[in-house]
Amino acid sequence: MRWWLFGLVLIAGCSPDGAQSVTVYCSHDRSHSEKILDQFEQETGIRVDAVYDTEATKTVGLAQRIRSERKRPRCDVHWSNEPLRAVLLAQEGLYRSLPSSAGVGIGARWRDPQNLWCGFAARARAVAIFPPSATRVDAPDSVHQLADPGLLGKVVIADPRFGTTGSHLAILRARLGPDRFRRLLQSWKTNQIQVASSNSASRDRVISGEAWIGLTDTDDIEVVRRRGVEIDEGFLAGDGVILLPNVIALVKGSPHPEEAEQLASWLLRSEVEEWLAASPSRQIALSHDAVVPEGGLGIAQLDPIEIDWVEAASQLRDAVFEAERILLNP
Amino acid sequence: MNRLVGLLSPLVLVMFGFYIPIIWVAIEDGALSLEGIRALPGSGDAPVILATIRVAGLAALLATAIGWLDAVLLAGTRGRWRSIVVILLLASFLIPPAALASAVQACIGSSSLRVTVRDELGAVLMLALRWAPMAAAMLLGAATMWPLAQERSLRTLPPLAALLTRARAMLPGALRCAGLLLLLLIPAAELPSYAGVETVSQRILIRLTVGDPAAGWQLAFLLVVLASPAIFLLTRALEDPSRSRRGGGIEGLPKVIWADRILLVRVLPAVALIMILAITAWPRASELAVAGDELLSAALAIGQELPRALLASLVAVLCGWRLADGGHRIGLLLLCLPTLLPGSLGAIALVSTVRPMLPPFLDDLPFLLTVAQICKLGALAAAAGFVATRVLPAAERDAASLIPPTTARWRVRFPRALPVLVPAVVIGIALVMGEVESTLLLAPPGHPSTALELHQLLHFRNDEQAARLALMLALFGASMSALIVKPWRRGE
Amino acid sequence: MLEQAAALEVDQLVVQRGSTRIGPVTLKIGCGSRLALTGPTGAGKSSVLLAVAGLLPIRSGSVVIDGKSMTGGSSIEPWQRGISWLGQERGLWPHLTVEAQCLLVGGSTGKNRDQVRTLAVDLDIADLIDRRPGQLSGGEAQRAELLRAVCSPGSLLLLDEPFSAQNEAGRGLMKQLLDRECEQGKSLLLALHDTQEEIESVQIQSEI
Repeated sequence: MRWWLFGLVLIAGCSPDGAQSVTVYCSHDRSHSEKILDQFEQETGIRVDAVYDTEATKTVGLAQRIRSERKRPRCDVHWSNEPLRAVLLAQEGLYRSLPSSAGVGIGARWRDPQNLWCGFAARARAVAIFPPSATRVDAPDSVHQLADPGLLGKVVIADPRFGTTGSHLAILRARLGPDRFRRLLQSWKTNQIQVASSNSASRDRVISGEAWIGLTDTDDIEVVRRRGVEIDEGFLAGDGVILLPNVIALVKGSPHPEEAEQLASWLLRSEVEEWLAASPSRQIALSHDAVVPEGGLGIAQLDPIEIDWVEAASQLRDAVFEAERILLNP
Repeated sequence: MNRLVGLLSPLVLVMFGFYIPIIWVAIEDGALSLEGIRALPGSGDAPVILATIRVAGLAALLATAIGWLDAVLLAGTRGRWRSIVVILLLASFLIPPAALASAVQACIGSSSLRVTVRDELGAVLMLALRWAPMAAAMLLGAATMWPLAQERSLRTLPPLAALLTRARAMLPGALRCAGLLLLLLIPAAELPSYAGVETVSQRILIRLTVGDPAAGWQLAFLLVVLASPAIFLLTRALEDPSRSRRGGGIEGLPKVIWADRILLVRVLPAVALIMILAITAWPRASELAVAGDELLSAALAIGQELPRALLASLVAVLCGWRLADGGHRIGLLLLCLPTLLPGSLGAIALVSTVRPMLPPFLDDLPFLLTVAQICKLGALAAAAGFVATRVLPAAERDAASLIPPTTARWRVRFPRALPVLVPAVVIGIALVMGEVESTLLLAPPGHPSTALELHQLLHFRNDEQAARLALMLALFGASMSALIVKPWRRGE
Repeated sequence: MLEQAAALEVDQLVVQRGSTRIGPVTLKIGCGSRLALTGPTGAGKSSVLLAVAGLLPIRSGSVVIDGKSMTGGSSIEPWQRGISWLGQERGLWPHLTVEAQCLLVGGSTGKNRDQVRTLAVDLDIADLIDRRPGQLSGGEAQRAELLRAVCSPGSLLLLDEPFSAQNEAGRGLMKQLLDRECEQGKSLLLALHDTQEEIESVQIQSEI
């Protein structure tokens, strides 16, 4: 019985042809990234096999897949939608250097010193604010204001252990130090901060009025604005605007190294940033020579703070566990 | 020796697809080291474990209660549209949770219930509504094989008395069904996460992703240790052969108007869900071509995924039946346990340990994904095998025991088990097609996965496209349901 | 005179069914002979048959079929015992026609298709053997089940209340068939409510 079972399992599937190809693991919005990858296919003739990520709360995500596949990598190019997990993968030795010509227009503050990864097309951490037509809520200037008693029970953040909220907290912990960070979390807890499953769920609670302020990303806000939803946004400028770039990295020992370099260089062109900036995800182009589209966000306008990515990544684990202990455990 | 082969052969896949890789990776991650064992899950995890058991337990009970009522009314009364009711109920189960949650959120809105109550209550309600058709399906499947004499004497009673008697007769089955649902719901992370409830599965995933894999593995093992005795006890009845016989057609069943009304109310959420999807999917004039393309590609993706889902479900259910038929309680326990843990765990273990040993050409095939999903269907397969074995009348089993075992197994007992196994395979297909955890980690690049795509579409608010995909899945679900409704209503 | 070879020897057989202890039972059936187990309802006749067939565990005593002990260290499965079976409850498999069932139990050494049809004529169910059990009456189903039992290559027929659903004519047909099977060397062990003149009987007793 066992052999025919194996045989049956074996025949389940079909093998693709042997054309030139590259495999990309992508955690950026599929509807936008797919079009960009299609464009690459058309321009170069290299077939792109993509695996797209889903919401972090549902699975362990593509970063973990890359980690698990380390003995025989399958992914050539990792397109991560946030930088800290990519930094950790780089530290674990899973990436190799990008071509020196890739992303030349992107500043050093957005890339790894060893060129193991390079950021592009960032999003800003932002607060979604309940529409002013319904009630008057001042945009908070700092994460500390989320503990304002006037906002008791009316602030929502996404589950701090996942996605960009986790990264945001890690950056805060790196900047504030452990004690002030824990006090911040405690003050949020005292102010009965709500915790939603994801950034988009936070935004939805703000739209429904259940919360007045929601800590989220600019792309989560923009995507509903373009659908006609009335919602305000703020950038917590008092703390310094935090930009979290998408990241491109090459996986060490991957099966298609040359095609991978070609795709990575192609993705780090300013045109790609411009496409993403014009898309409903409203990314913020990091290249000096990228043009900000009308209604888009420019890096000069936001004046983001400089972040030590390695230091922030080293805080991720503690930040997440402290947030879990203080905010989530009863 | 034969018994040992009978035990081991259906477990080969689970051994190499789950247990060996899991233990291997757990050792590599330090979960089984001395230091790791000293740092066993602390009291911080206790509330999550309790919440998981509470949510899963309540949802399993509520789903069983709803499914029990459905099954009593559907098996015990006759009337128009009964088949449609069953198809709609089952189709709602076959729609992936992401679409379900999205539609529920759209309908109810998140502000209509108080925050503290909403979280767990919402999770229980969503889980119960989703899994109630599964409970109804299992109880209906078992009811079709009732003893003929019992069925006939039931039909001589006044309608209400008959329904109450039927409900009481289904009670033992319903309790077992609740036990199985509990097993299936403990690893649920997706629907509870929509309600903001953290479950053990989610916490395990967090531990794995945020650099504390040993704690994740230990939490997983703790769950397994807690659940194993319960599963083993559930299979105790295998030692007591049952008796029954298929119960005849619809002749003699009462027509009960209030039953029709209850079923109408019961089916409303499913209809509402499909309506919401249809309205959202309906394209504007300018989008007709795009919408057509999306519907077509959704149908193609489903068609492409179906054979593999069928295969995975078939293999799993056959393994479950084979173990139950041989009375291997330990084997059934081993088959059940992988269901209890998040699919990501098994998938990570497979990627890390088994994949490097396989020839590279298998990377292009969804081989490991199929293995992982077969393992994940363990509890369903074991339950189906268990029920199928129990409903075979003792007289028929005795008669079959006088012919050579292989002939008896495949010519007599297997065909007799089909009324239970076929619905189980269909439900298994739905579970495989809605599975995202191992799909994300194991699917070859470019491999279609409707459930994963649906998640991505919903996450990035491509609602219309998501609704089109979900609608195609609902249509597919309805056609699959029709397959299993026919034998139920035929009642030979 | 040589002692007749025994098709079945049961010695001090005790069977436990729930809280009821049945036996001890001792009996012997020669080749081509028949023996009935009698006793009141609940005495344990069916349990003894089930125990001989290997379908119920034996508490003590021995069962020897065709000279082979069934109660030694290694258990002998029912299908390896060389027996045919007709139970008290209907055990026809509903997914197969009567003929398919007869051929299935017959295997390569039992009755062939022609022989099955001939025997069906003897039992007055020749027109019914292409049907499935759901299309038969109670009496027809019982005769069909006897047909299936005699098609098996087993030399010992274990029959539990084989005439319970028959009218006089049906009973007559079944008895004639069983007579012929005995003439051809098969042996019968029957469980019957009442003693029948033509069949030697053993009284079964049980205690709680």
